[in-house]
Amino acid sequence: MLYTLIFMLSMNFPVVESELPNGLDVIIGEDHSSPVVTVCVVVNTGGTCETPESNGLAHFYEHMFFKGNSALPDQTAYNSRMRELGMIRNGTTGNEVVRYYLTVSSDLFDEGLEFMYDAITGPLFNPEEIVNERSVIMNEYERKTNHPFWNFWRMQEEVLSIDKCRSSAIGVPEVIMAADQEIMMEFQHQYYTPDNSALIITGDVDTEAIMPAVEEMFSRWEFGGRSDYSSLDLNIAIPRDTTVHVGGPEGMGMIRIVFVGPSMANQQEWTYAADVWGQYMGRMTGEFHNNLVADGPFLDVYASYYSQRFEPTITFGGTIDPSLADEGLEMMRAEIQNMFGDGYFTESGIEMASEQLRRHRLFNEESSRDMATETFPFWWVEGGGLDYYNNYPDSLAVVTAGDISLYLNRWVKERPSAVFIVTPEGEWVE
Amino acid sequence: MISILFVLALLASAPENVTEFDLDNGIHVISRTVTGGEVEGLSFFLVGGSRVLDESNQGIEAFALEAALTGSDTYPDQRWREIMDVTLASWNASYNYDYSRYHLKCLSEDLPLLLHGFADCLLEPELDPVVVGRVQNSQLIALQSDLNDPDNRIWLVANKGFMGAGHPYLLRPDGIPSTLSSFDVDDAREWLSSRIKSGNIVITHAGPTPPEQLEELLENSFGRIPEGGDVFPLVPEFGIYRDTLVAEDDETLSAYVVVKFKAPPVGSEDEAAYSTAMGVVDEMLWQVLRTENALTYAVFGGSTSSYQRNWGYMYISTTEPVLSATLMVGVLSDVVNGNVDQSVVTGVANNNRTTQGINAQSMDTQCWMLGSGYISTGNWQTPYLLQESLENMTVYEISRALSDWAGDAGWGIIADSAIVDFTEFEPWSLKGEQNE
Repeated sequence: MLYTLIFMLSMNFPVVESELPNGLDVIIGEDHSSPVVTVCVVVNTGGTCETPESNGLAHFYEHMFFKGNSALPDQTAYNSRMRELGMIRNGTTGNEVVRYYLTVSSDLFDEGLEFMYDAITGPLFNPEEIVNERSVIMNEYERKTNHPFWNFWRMQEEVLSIDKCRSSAIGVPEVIMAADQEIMMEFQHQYYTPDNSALIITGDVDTEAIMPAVEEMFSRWEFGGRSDYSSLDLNIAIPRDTTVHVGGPEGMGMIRIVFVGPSMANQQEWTYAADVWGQYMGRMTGEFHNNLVADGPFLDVYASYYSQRFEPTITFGGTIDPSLADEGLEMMRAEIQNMFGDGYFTESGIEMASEQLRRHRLFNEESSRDMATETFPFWWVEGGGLDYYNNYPDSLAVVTAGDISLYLNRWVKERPSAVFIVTPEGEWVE
Repeated sequence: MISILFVLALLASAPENVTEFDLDNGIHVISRTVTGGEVEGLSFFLVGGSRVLDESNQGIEAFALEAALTGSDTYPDQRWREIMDVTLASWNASYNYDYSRYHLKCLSEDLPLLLHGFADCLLEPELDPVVVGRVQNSQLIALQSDLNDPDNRIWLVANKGFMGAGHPYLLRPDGIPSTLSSFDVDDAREWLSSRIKSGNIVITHAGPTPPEQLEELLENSFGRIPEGGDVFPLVPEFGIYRDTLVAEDDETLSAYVVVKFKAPPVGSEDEAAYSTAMGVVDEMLWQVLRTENALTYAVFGGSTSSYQRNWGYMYISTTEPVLSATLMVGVLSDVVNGNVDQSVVTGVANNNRTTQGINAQSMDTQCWMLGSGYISTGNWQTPYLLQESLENMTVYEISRALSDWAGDAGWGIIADSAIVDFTEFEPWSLKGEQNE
């Protein structure tokens, strides 16, 4: 192995991170609170890697992960093996991350690990199974179009994204219906390589005991070196102030004011102040809440930074009676201006926000399975490894009111924004 | 005086370190001590659910509890929000046919203050009309949003035919827009005054606080709740007496189909076999409708297991509802007739074992299992012991259980009549009979 780094990420269980010679990051967390183990493979890919010609294929690939592979020839055999192992599994495709995970009894860890290895390294992309899966994915697409916020999601892509195809992981029907074996293999060749992935294991395991098997099995996965993930461009731009009246569900009003935020790819130094700021604004006793909810027309409000590499956003938003939407927007804009006044950010408030973030982390670390399937994959991708997550508490602890002012001056003050006013009377995307 | 009833784990699949005791006013408490962390889970169950509602007050309990949780005389709105800010604790509310549940997630150090504040909100609610109005509007929006989504609404459509007129489970614990919008603070106060009684309450806990300390905390907070409680009528059988179908026309690209049918009550000797049978149905629905016929992204089957009256169900979203419904009936018939490989039956038990292990990592899920088991059967171990019964289940046992219980079918369909021919719909029989 190139290195082994041992640290205590969590208050509840120890975590070890190492890297195999082929570039695969291996993260293992021991949690003996229940006799199960979770194995997750996270890959630096997703909708953001797509072009108009491949829009939807990262997600299509995820579906094919659960089909035949070099060890299990078709989905029927695949499902049968899952039943034998009592396996609970799933996969998700986002714009910036794809992950696959399974949980088995800890006495079946070896079998679970082998199952994951075969699925990630040896998918067959059987043409008949691909044809079948086109219809399955089209039904998934149709279901999404029925969602009350489908129109709003589409409108956000239209307004914020430089390349819309990189923001819509579900893709478009024409591409979904044309997916074939060749293009699946191209996707695999480019992104599904150990140097572009991490293997995460948490649960009732002994790290030292399982490490040889992990190393022996996953070292066989051939180094790739072909991923362009880290060199992809930012995919968000708000060149000028834009306001869109968006059609939404009956009886509901919603306002969102969006600014471009710092990228997790190369502007991480801004993100600590961004997170403390978001938590500060979320306090239910803070000015933002008091002025807009307790003494204002909103039912709830939030202000947050979304940690993303390619589409990072800073958002002010809230729910409101649709008939009060215009008034609410003006009040929210005024509140944003208030943030730049002297004394808006107090040291005691910042201290509380930092403590809230510490507690938030403790709550998130309650379940080691959630750590394997949610927390570690997200931060491994967005932070470019787990160092960001590991050093996060220390970095938050030194954020000051001055840092937050600098952050707001750089990313919000006099910057163009996109305003979405969602009411039943708004516009609808075809 | 608090009496420790027992501390034990009778069987391997029941968790260890579980303690039961009663507060002086009779509130029953079940606590699972989980050492090694500092995150606490505590669930407050208010038993009753749909049984204490009528047509005109559906949603009143959800409204009253949410309104109460905005502050009390001792912890007014602003002070209560400060506490929530400092602790970052969360309260998650859910309302179902048999009970309302509030679940608290917090750090151990904050438990005393939060429990005291919560009890105070229930007993001496501030109920500021402006704050309560905001809560009410938020509830209405959430409800409307749910109803706008056919994927949520389809379950209610299927209820219409299955449950039968007048069944209490047709009353919605989270309300309907017309009732929810009619409530005011006086309604909330009156409801809390009549319902917050020790006999209506069960508390469950999972976390590091030891039972002795928890008893003291709960006595100081919930010990103030007056004695007494409601007498709940038995939930009647579902009123379905023939196959029924309720169809709703809506502009959706995908149609939604749900069918419900009777299931044994919790604690019945058929429960494990029926539950396994529906687990097998779930596996086969995936195999037949998704893997082999590519008719859907989402198809599943299962059974409820924590209500006084339960049901089996099958669900699908698809552009071909008629073909799908026919295949769903075929899958169910195969299980009823025993045309199933034993490995599929064993697989259901294997999956359940893994699920129990996953559940053990979550304080929230532990609290829910302890509470729902106790409320539905009087024994918190019921959901844990189910696994024991699943082991070694045979094809014969599951087919017999399903055959005995799955009779008349209550179908619900939401589809777009511009895309789908509604005249082809029929209340397909699960028993292989032709309906006229």
